[in-house]
Parts: sequence; C-alpha cells; structure tokens
Amino acid sequence: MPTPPETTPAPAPRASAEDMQLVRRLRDGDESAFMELIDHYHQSLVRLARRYVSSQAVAEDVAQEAWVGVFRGIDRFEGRSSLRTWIYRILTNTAKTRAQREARSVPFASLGGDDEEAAVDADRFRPAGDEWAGHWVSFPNQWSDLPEQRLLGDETRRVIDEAIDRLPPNQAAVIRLRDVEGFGSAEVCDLLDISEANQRVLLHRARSKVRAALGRYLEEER
Amino acid sequence: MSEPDLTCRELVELVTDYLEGALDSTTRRRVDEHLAGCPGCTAYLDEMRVTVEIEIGEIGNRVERSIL
Repeated sequence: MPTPPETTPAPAPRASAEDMQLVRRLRDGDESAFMELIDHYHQSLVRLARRYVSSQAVAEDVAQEAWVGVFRGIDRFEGRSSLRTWIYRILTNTAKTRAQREARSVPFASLGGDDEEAAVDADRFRPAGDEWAGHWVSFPNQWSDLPEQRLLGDETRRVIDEAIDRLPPNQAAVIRLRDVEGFGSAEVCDLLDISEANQRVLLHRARSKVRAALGRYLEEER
Repeated sequence: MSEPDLTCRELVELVTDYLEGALDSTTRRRVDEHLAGCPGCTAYLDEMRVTVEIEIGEIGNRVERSIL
C-alpha cells in the first residue's frame, strides 16, 4: 500500500525565481507580462469570485477590480508567498468587500457545508442484518485497467468540469483550488478563511461526487 | 485491539483524510489493515486517486505509482 503524505501540511511556497522574473517585467510595465498573467488566471479568478457574489456579471467585475489591485500593488509584492497565492488573495479580499456591499455577506464556511451526504450510494453496500453488512455488494472497478487515452480524453475532462460546476459553491471552490489549480491545503484554508477540518470535509464531498460522475461516465462505455 | 473492523461503508468516508495524511495513527492503521484484505476498497481508493490525478493533469504518473 502506498504511504499517505506526512501529517504536517506543507508550508505555503514562497515566490519562485520565475515569479520574481515576471514581477520585474510587470514593474517595468511590460505589457506582454500583464497579458500573460491575465490569460492564465482570469477565468479562475472569475470562478472563485462567483463563490462570493450574486451573478456572473458581478464576478467578472470583481475579477477586473482585483487585476487593478494586482497591477497597482505589484511594487509592494515581497515574495513571501507565490505570485499566484498573492493574486488569489487580492481576489478573495476584493470579492468579500463586494459581497458585503451587496449585503449578502454569508460566511463562506456556513454555505451549504452542513449537508450530510454519503460518499457512495448506500445501495452499493450490503444492508444491516446481512452477515457482511456495510461491505461492498460488488467491488468497484479498477480504473487502472482502462487505457490512458480514455482517462486523458477531452470528454473525460469535460465530465469532471461539469461535475464540479454542479457542486455547491464552497465544495467547488475547494476542489478547484486544491485539485485543479494545485494549491496546498494551508493556502486554500487561508484564501477561503476555513479550518483544515472544514476544508477536508468539503474536499471529501466534492471528490466523492466527482469520482461518482466519472464512474458513471467510464462504466457506461466499458 | 478490541475495536471492531471497519466496514467498507465506513472506509469510503475516511479516504480523503487518509490521502491527506490527516488520520490519527490508530485509525490509519485500521484503514491500512482493511485495505490489505479488501480488493473493493483498494479499487475505490485507486478510483479516488485517478480522479484527482486527472483533475490535476498528472495521469501520466499513475502507472508508476500504482505498482508501489
């Protein structure tokens, strides 16, 4: 059995050499550097903003405002976090301020995080009273046997993206930041103002549902 | 020692904490023991890993890791 990662969460990474190089270009007013950054992060920022504000239009607006903050503040960037984390933090701060102005400020952690959902449908397990109660009725399939092209296909990615879009906003935000954008757990807790434990619950529910959606897709054409 | 064995239904709810390294050592040992004897939960854990690897675009590393 592979060993799970160490218990202590990795500290948030500091700015890399590439980050600092990009920062220098931004400070010099290099327009292509600005465009690079916007191309890379704008859609993610809009999606993240959507967790805080009422409409897509407002989320777009928040992302624009965050970019202004990024470009105005770039001289003050000290490299204590990665450039990406710094940008996302400006976005979440901007979005929270906007949400308060919208008078629909709901603490992130309280949004739909209290639903009791099972990771796997109950009917996949043997019922109470059975000699093997709580064990699989039939085993899940090994996806490792599937051809890699199938797992890597655009269609597979689309199934995952759609499954994430259907999640409650807080679960979607956590799974995107952790598994799609590749942030560490400490950074995600910090960006979203949630505890490690809360983050794990949200991540668990999100991953379980995305896995189930992927399972339905992969099994139907097996 | 006297703790009852985990059921599969209980185990699937511990998978994320397991992968995150967030389980206490006793629970982690119970999960490892269950996995060692349960092909169903081993497959489930593999599905969960594959899901995350597709999400993050690291599926190419999968084969190497699955033989560990």
